[in-house]
Amino acid sequence: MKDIWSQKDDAALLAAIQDGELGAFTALVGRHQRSLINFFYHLCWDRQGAEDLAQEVFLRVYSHLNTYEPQAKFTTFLFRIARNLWIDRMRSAAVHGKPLSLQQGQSAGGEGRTLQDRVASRVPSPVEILAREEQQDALRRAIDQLPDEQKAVVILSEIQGMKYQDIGEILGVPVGTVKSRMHTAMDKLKDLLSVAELS
Amino acid sequence: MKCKESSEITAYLRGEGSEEERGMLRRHYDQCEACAKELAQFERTFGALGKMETVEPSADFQSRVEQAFLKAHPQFARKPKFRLVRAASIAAGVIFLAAGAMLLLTMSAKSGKEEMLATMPPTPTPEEDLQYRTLPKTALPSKIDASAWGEALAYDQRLVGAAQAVKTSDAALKWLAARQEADGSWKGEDAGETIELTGLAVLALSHAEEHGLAIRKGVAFLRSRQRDSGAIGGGSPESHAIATLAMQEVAIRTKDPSAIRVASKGIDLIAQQNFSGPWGRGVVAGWQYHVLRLAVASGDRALTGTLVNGHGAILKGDERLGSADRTAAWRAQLWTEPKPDVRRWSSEASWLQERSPIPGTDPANYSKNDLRLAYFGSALLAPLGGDAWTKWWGPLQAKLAKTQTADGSWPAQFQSGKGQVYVTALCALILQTPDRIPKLED
Repeated sequence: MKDIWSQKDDAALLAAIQDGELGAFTALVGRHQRSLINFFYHLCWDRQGAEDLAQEVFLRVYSHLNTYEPQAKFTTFLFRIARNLWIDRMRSAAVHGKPLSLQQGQSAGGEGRTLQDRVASRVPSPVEILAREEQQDALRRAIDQLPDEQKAVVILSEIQGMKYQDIGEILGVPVGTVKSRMHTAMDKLKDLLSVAELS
Repeated sequence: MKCKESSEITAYLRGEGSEEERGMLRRHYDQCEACAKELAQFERTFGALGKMETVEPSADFQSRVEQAFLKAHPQFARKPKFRLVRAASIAAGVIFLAAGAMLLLTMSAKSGKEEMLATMPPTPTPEEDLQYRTLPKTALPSKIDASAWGEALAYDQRLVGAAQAVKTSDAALKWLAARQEADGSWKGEDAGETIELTGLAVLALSHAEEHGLAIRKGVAFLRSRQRDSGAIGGGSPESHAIATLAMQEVAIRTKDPSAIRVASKGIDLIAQQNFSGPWGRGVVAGWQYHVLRLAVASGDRALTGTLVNGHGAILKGDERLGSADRTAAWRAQLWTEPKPDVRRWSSEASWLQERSPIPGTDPANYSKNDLRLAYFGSALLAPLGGDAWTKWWGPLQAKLAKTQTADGSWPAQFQSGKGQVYVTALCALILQTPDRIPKLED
């Protein structure tokens, strides 16, 4: 049986965190870690870098709690912090020439992927491994060619499965803008991905 | 030249917009060749994105974040232990005061917080249902009560028995089986609808042994569309739940290892989504809680906690839902009860008698039909039996018999905005309701 915190909803966990409950914070991390890490992973293609950024977001959640409105979805609040952190890092990288992630440059082609990443893929044959890795590389290359604002919409919609309304709230833009960015992005991806990769 | 409606294609494929808007777009895409071509291209692109790899958090990620948090906020580590006792006492309720005192003694002897908290019953659902006018005032289980679920065992056995039953095919099922695509699917307007149609068709066929090949092909197709997360397709939670229910029923009857694997992963996802309360509303909850209850009935007793967690919140705001969604929410609520009070439920559900899911059999009235209301209304009233069920079922069954065409199907117009496969599969499922969902009082 899981501990009592894992049975509480997000709003109850946040209230408990404000009341000083470490268990509530840990439960919140456990509940949202996967989606947050994957959000950053699809932006930087570096698992370790994604985990570092996700950790930073969870720490920021506590310091931003005074700005959280209980009637809003926690995931919207969480991903807004994540999005702002990513923008900060990009600006910092642009100004100081620092890499966006700890292992950027060695991960995108697959060499930087950890054994754990490969095991997690659970692919049955070398031929399928090759085909899958080629397909993943093609998808990465295509997504990386999107402007950042379109990339964020695609990731939030397609990887995180969010509705346009929530994406608009996270990015601070109207739903119509989300819709048009998504359409433009898909139009580009359609052209960037070859017939073989789409099959 | 691009059509102006083409800008809506991505939103349409993602399931955005109201039913009305989507219906208008679907009709346009049916007629516009340029849009239909672009829609097919985007659908393939979405399909490719759906194969994007995801990563799992490192095993120590949670503890690393906790350590970093404690380093930044050391006051959390110095929390006095009596607060845990207070929390425990509130969670267990005043009547557990004595038990709380024992817990206090136990706590001083044990070392880990989780170890102590794990011995406590789950917290009662915080919100009362008083604000809702027509809610059945059934007693909320205050914890995962083994004896209450023990009483549910006899019904659950009959529920599983119904899923195991073998039925002969009929004209509607033969019509459906003949519409299966070579890849095992029943094709919809988009990838999401294809999952929904395939799930509905396999569910309708699942008891007919003579359609074993169609069922196996359907299972293989849905399996090929299942993602690492367990999601079948990347579309709506409704289509995932329908497909999972279909896999569950096939798995229970045939013990097909492939169906068992797909169903298990699909159930895990729904259980995860609904762990601390209902994840979807209305129709989505109606399908999802059917999946969860059937999983409990077929042996996954750990999920009773998820049903208990859903119980107090499923009907929240139900008076603001449309008829089909509201009925589905009530059906979901009924799935969460180990031993429902049938008389009370029958009385509370009397509002359904005022609604007719199929107002008339004249084709001019088809646009008023609501097959989802017919399905969930039947699924809600069939187990209650009695007058409420008889008054609902008699006219509905007669209208379905009268409108079925000679080839076994129902006309596409029978439900606006849906195709003939959807309509026929759902009508077949409605007619199977008394066989699939047994009466609560045998």
